[in-house]
Formats: sequence, structure tokens, C-alpha cells
Amino acid sequence: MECHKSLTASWSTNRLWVEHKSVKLAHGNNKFCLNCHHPTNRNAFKHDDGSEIAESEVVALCARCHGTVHRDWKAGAHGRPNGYWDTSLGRQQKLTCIQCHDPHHPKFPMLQSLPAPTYPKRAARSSSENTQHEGNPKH
Amino acid sequence: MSHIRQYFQFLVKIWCLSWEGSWRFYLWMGFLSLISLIGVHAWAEQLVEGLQTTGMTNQVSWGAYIANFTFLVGVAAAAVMLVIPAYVYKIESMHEVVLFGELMAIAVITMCLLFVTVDLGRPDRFLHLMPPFGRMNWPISMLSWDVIVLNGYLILNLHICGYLLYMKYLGRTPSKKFYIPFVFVAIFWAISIHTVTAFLYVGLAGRPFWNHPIVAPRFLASAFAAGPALLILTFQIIRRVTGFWIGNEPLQLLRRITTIALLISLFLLGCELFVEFYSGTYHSVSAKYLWFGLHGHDRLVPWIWTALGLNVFALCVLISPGANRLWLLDAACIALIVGIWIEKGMGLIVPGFIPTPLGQIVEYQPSWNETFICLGIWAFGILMYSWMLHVAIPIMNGELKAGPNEAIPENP
Amino acid sequence: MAGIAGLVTALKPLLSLERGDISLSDLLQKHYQELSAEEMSRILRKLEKQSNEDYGVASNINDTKAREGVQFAYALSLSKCVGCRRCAHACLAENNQSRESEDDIEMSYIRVLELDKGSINVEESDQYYDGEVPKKDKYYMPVQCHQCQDSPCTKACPVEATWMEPDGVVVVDYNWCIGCRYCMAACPYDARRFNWKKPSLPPESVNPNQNYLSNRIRPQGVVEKCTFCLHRTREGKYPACLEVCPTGARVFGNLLDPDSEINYILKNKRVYILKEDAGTTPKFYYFFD
Repeated sequence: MECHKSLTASWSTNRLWVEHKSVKLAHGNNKFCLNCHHPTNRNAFKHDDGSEIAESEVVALCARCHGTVHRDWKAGAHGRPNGYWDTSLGRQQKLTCIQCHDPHHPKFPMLQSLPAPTYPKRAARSSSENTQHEGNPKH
Repeated sequence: MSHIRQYFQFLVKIWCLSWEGSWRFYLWMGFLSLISLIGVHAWAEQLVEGLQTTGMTNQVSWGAYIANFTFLVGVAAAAVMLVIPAYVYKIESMHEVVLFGELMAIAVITMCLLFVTVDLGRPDRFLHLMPPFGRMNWPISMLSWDVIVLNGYLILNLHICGYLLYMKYLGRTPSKKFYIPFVFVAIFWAISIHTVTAFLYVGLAGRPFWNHPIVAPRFLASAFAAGPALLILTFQIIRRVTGFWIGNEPLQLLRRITTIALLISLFLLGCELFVEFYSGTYHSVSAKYLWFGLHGHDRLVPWIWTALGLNVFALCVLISPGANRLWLLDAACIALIVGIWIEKGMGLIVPGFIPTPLGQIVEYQPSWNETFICLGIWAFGILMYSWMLHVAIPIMNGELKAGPNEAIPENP
Repeated sequence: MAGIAGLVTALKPLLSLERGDISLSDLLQKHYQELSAEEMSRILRKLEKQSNEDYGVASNINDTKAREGVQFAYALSLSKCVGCRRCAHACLAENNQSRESEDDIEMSYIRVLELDKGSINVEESDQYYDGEVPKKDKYYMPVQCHQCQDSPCTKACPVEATWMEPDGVVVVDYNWCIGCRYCMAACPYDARRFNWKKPSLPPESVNPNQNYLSNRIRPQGVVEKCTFCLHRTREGKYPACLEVCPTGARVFGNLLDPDSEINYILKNKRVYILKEDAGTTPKFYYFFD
């Protein structure tokens, strides 16, 4: 944070090989740091008009581009609400954008699937089928 | 009071007669009892361990029990093929043997009920089916209909056979009003038991293989082929083993019925195969699995082609003059019964579950325990029929009758 | 004599039936809908005691009733689901099914299908895929009970052991089911499971928060099914499968509340009903976004 007090932030990403080397920006055609980060206040994000968005209000930042998703999120259809569907009985927690999505790399990484069901042990098998093969008998 | 005493004497005599017999009779009954007991043992095992002792899975949730049940409902319904010639067309030669068909229906319905019982996960809760203790989902559930029609058919036949035999024992002419109405009800009832059983499957929209209007008529046609074929064999055994002579006339009439029913059955099968394979929609996957195998799964393929072969063989024999020779007729009947048994069991029940509605292919084969239970029920059914013949034939021959001092006058 | 001896020998396995497996009071228990509040509470205490004896865990079995003005429905985004099977495994843990061997996952109420992009024919689906997901050119469709409004399973049951509750959830009275499995044959979504054996799960795997109509440990020989986690949802919470979903593909809510998440989906998204041609009017929707 201190750096940016003396150094002005650049619009381009050409400094990335010097600073913020860990950040690999892969956010579609959103290629510039200052599209989202506020140029002077490093703890804030940037609105369309250049005004600041507090870090806790990150949803408003993402909503600048992802309007339809934001609409879904507001309706509870995005962001996997947890806790209580009936808010009169308990608290509902809604996840914010960056709790799930890495803003620099919003595409989800591959997930390891949990164990598959097995072909039922008691069921019969065709003689032509390879009995060692526990996987999909179709392929 | 004397009526009740007289009836009680009748029962005592039957009880005593049940234990009289040659060593052959004892050997036969002993053998059947042994197999039945093995079945009982297997069932006790299943009760304790649960249905994990069977080959059934969540994917193929019905198997050998329901397959045998379905086949046997057909056999029971086929007794009507003796009743109609005897009572509607009043063919004299059939009158003598119709009782054997009705007795067989009793034994076979009992087997059906046993097959359903062993299929239950909680047979201890059977009372739930019986109002006022239970709640029967009638008329919505086809299974509740089936319970009603099967038990009703059993009671009808018990009444008809019991009444006729008792009258014969007393040496009286049976009063028509006490049995003729029941006989005619039983004719419709017989058709209904098999139709309702077919509707059990046909009514399920989630299983396209069954959800087919032709299944019910096909059921009836195949039942009316297999049932009379079984009767042809049974009549020959009866006339050879017991003192009751059955002429060739009923056999030939039954042969004609079998032939026509088999022709219709094969025609309907052809209709079904045409729909399944000509249009070739995704709904025909089960048929594809059955006849040709699916993705390397082909357990049922040899069975269904065997069944088709046996049925075609039986038809060729039955329509040719060769079937006048009894041994050839018998061979055709055996082929037919086995063919239809495969067709109804492995050919209809099991492929309905393969693939599952979600496309999973899990195959089925009965386990040993399951097979023993099936064999046990078959043995018990044969045991029951043998016993019924053992006591019914002396009554029909006039060997067992009320003594002169026991009989009370017809109009006291 | 020999016959009786034979019969006794044949029935010998019955001796190993445990006390409580079949008891007279169970046999005389009335249908769920006929039980008075006192009878119900007596049954619940008995079930708790039984479950404590069998599984070594003090559970709390409730009978939370449906609330007025609530109709549950579920929606699942086919665009978001990656097929990781977290839901299927969470379902198993939540609903107290066997955890004895690896193929117990078979009893999970959720089956996750892998489909080829460009086709929505479940008959070509694969349930056995493993490894990292989502795979190239594949998409995923978890299937569970659709809580059909015109449910073929409740029509099939000969003893009314399964019915639709006022909040739209199809339930089974495990103490009334006779285990004929006709409902399983009737279901177009392969959503019902049968207890082929007595469930076996170690004490640490038991979820003690239980409900009579949903996740209490089932007796052997009865059918069970997804109840939209009735023991959670009737208390205002979300189903277990939804809370565990890492992609947020699952949406759950009250159909009768116009502002609910589920109504938002139905109004604003392209919704697809699986096997709509079966005519069962499901309350489980797939959507794309």
C-alpha cells in the first residue's frame, strides 16, 4: 500500500512482471488493474464515475459489468444462500462475489469429484463385460 | 346341527384319506415337502437378513418372485378355458374334467399369493392391506385391485370346488343356484385377474417398455396358451397315475384352444416388436436390451430367443397333424410352457427395469436363496394340487361317500 | 412328526431375529395420519430408545408438521453444476443411511448424471464417471425426487404408506410401508430406495437431528426417498444438498411466496422439466443461466 503513495498506478498491466507477480489476470477482456482498483485508494474499488467503493461493498463493483448476475444475486438465485430460507426463523447468509470467485481468475478450477457409485455388488454381470471394470459399462 | 356334524365328518374323512396311499404317493409327497421346507428355510433366512439375500437391487427392484407371480396368474386365469366349454357351450366331456382345472386354479392362486408375500420387505405388516386394520389404497392403486381380484378368485374357486365335491360326497345333485352364478362370475373374474395384473405394469408411465396397450391382451393370449398346455400335461398324468380316466376328447379341445391362443400371442408379439423396432425411439431401449443387448449387456438375449424358438416350435407342432401323437403334443406343450414362462418372467418383468429411468444399466440374476424360495413355492403348489387330486378323485369316482346312515335326506 | 421337526428346523433362522425387529406394538401401530399427538409422542420416544440401543447415539426424533402457506420446490442450474457429487454424499450423511462399505453411496437420494453436451437424453447418461470435473464436452444433471404433484408413486402404493404432505413433499411412513416396491417401479426418476438390509452406521456417523417422516434411521425392508430434508426445511433451513453445493447450482424455496428465490427462477430463467412427458407435474426444475 505504501508504494502507491509515492508511485502513481499505471493503467496498463505492464508493471506486472515487476510488481504483483503472483497476480495472473485472466478476467476475460477486463485486462486493467484500474478497471476495478481505485487508482489512489488501494483499499477501495472504483465506481464508473471514479468514486470509491468500499472493500465490503465489492458486490457493487462486480455489478458494474455483471448486471444480470447481480440481479440474480439480489433475488437469492445466485450466491448460494445458506442458513435459513425462512428469514423469519433465522439468519440467512448470502455469499458475496469474491467469496467464491477469484476476481483475477474468475473461472472455477477443476474439482475432484467425490467417489462414484459402483455397479451394485449383488447385480448380475454379462459375461462379455470386463468384470474388472468398475466404471461406466457403456464406454 | 346335523348339517355341521355331517360336514365335520366329511372333513375328518378327507383328513384320514390324505394319509392313505401307496409308497409312491408317500415318496412323491415327501419329496415335495422336502423342497417346500427348503424354501421355507430360505424364506426364514430372507426374513432375518432382509432382501439383500436376493439378486434384486434398487435398479431392478422386482425379480424372480414377481416374474413367477405374473406367469402363475395367467395359469390360474386359464382355468376359464375349461369352464367356458363346459358351462357355456355345455360340452359333456369337459364337464367331467372342469373340476381339475378349478382345483388347479386354487393351487396356483395360492402360489401367486405366496410369491407376492415373499416379495414383501415387511410381510409382518400384511394386515395393512386389510381394512379395517389397514388402509387399502383402493381404487387408486392397481396393486390393491390385484389383491382383491386374486383373493376373490381364490374364494370363488374354493366355493365352487368345495360345494361340488361335497354334494358328490353326499350323493346329491348340486343345486344350480348355489354354483352356476358363481361359475359365471368366475369366468369374468378369471379374465379380470390377468387383466388387472397386466394393468399393474401397463399403468406405469415411467416405464415405456410396459406402458403399452398391447401388454394386457398379450398377457391373456399367452396365459390362455400356457394354461391349457399345462392342463393337457396334467390330464395325462392324472389318467396314468390315478384311477380317473380322462378321454382324448378334452385333450384335443385344449390343444385347439392352445393353438389359437398361441397364434394370437405370437401375432401380438409381432405387433409389439414392430412398434419397438420400426419406429426405433428411445423408448425402445428396453426392448433392444432384451432382444439384442445394450452396450455389451446381454444376459437376457439367449433366453428370449430360446423362448421365441420354443414358442414357434410349439406352434409348428400344434398346427400340424403330428400333434395327434401324444408324445409330440406333450413335447409341444412343455416347450410352450417353458417358452411363455421365460417370456413373462425374464422377457417382461426384468427388462422393464433395464435400463433404469435414468439410463443406468444394472442386470439381474436371482440369487441361490431367491431360487430356493421360488422352488419351494412351486413344490408347495404341486404338493397342494397333488393332495387335492388325491382326495377329490375318490369322491368323484364315488369311492368316498357319505355312509347310508350319515346321509340326511335332501329335503328334511 | 417328521414333518413338524422339519418345519421347525426350516424356521430356525428366525431365532436370530433381534428383539425389537418385529414387535407387537409395531404391528398394531396405526397409520401416521391416524395417530393422535399423544400416540405420536409415545412412538417417537420409543423410536429414540430403540435407535439408542441399536446405534448407540441419543437422537432427537421430531414430528414437525407442515406449515400453512408453504409449498416447497427446488431448482437446479444445469449451467452451474459441475458434477462433483458433494450433494450426493452430503445427502447420505444427512439422512442416516448405511456407511458401512463404499457402495453404500448407492442409497443416496441423488444420482448425478454425466451427459454429453448437445443431448439431454438421460438414457445416454453415465453415473460412474470419476476424477476431476467438469470434463470437457460434458455437463451434469443431479436427479433426486421431483416431489411430483401428480405423483405416480403415491398412486401405486397399495396401503397409502406414501403420500404428499400439505407442503408438497412426498413422504413415506416407514412404520406402515409393507415393502412391495411398487412405488419404485412407478417412479420415472429412479428416486426411491429400498432398505435391502438393516442400515449399519457407526455412532459418529449418526445425524441425531431426526424426523419421523424423513431421516430417522429406517427399519429393514421399507422404501425411503428424498423429502427435501423435511427435518431441516420445515424449520426454515435449507436442504443439506443445497448448503454443500460449491457452485451454487441449487435453489430452494417456497412456491407460494411470490418473492421467493424459486419463484424468481421460474419467472426469469429458461426452465426445463425432466421427463415432462410422464405427466407427473414435478416440483423440481432444471434451469439454464
